[in-house]
Amino acid sequence: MTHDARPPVLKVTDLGVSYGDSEAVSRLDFEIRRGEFVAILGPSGCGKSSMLNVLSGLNAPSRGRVFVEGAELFRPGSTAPRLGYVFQSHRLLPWRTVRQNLEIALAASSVPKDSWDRRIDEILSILHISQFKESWPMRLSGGQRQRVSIARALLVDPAYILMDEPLSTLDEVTARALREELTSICQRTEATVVFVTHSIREAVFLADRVLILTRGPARIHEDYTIPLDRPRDYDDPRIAEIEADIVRRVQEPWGLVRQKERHLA
Amino acid sequence: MPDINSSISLPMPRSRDWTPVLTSPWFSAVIAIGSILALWFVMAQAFRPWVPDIDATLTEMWSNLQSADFWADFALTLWRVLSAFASASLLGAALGLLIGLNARAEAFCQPLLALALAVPDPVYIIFAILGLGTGELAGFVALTIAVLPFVANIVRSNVQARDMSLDEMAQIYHLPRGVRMSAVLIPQIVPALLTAMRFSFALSWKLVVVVEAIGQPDGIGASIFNSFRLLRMREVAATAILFILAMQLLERGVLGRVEKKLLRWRD
Repeated sequence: MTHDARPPVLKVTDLGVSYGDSEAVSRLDFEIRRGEFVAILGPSGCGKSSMLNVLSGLNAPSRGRVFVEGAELFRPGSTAPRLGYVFQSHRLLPWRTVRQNLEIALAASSVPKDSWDRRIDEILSILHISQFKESWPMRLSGGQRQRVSIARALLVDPAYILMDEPLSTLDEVTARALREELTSICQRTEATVVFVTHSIREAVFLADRVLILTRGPARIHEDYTIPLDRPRDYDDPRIAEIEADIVRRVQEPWGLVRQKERHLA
Repeated sequence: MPDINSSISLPMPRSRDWTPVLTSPWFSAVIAIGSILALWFVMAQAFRPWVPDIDATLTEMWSNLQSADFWADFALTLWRVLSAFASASLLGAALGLLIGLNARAEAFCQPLLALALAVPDPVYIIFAILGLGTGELAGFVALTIAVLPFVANIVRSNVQARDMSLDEMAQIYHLPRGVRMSAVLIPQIVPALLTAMRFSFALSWKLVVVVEAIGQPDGIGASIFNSFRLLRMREVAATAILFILAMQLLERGVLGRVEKKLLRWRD
């Protein structure tokens, strides 16, 4: 394996999250480098949301440390991470137009005001939604709203972007189109992305690396590098092979073997 | 002999489809107003002279509209309604926001709010008149205190039922506190604020009439009460109907337009 010289944007050491006696995340260690697209794959209820709440700066961890661009989070006097977030549902403000939704995110960022218009036009054009600039979010389809949500995340010059199953609520045709666009946009903007998903195929198609989590409390079972060049084809048989390989690897940590045995018994 | 029915299709006379007319809001309004007038007519026949005739009342309304005294009373009452409505709405909304957002404020204010909601409105009016006399201030204070708890309660419950995922989004994107309030929280509770305003306005003008009847020498309420004392039921009905119509016009015209403008993103 070749050594990656890019500096880590996000570094997590010995991260743990507990709620009382219940442990949601247990001793996570990983690094994500600039421009990397890392998928996080774990079964339902394994503690992904708890982990995301820490990585987004919403909740402090019970244990461990998080570094963003070398600066430690959650220390007295530390600033919250500069990040973009694409939620499972779009979380746009319905009473503000697409442009106003993007402006409100820019208002809290360090992006100079005189460049807002140009940046908004650029990002809307990249995501093919320029014609909806002055539309209300309620007038848009689910896919279009999620594009606006992606635009909002990219606009604010984030250190990294967290994506929490952003395509899971879309129909398969829209999700496919958006997956392909997402890879090209992230390559073009050199965005660093942490992408949480349930779909193994989606993770294989999108990511450079897949962090496979165990069942809760979440630990990293495997850091899986996807051995495919870009651009990728969603129907490429090699993607199906890698998917099958990952399915085999998650049988034990996700407790699927025991479930199967119990079922057969 | 050829079968005429199978070879020739005769144009059948088409009956008119009345469904759009019958289901239109205008038709319902006409039916409602017609029913009220019919009921009024029957009551006027049955309880003469306590229920005045329709035509006599309409004549009285017309003469009211031409009377300077009526307009002076109307302007005074309108001023009282609007000032009480504005103060109750603003203070009630501010209190509702505070209680909705702050657990400590809620713990302190909630029992007081529950008590205030349980007190009958005339009690506020009587105590205000006893404490502050029959001047303008007594009516203003009584109305504000009577209406405020309702507004605060509506706003509080809607603040607490807001979409917390938007708060999370605002926190993640580091929106400043002022922007969170003006762009995320307040627009979310606009429908509740409008409901509270409508309620506040409706309650204000009804209570203003009571306050004026009990403790003021002038205004629409005092005028209605004077007419009642002299058993001039035609004057009571004419003044009351004109005032109710004016208030409805204000509520539907002004508040309705504000509502349409503020909630245009829903259309």
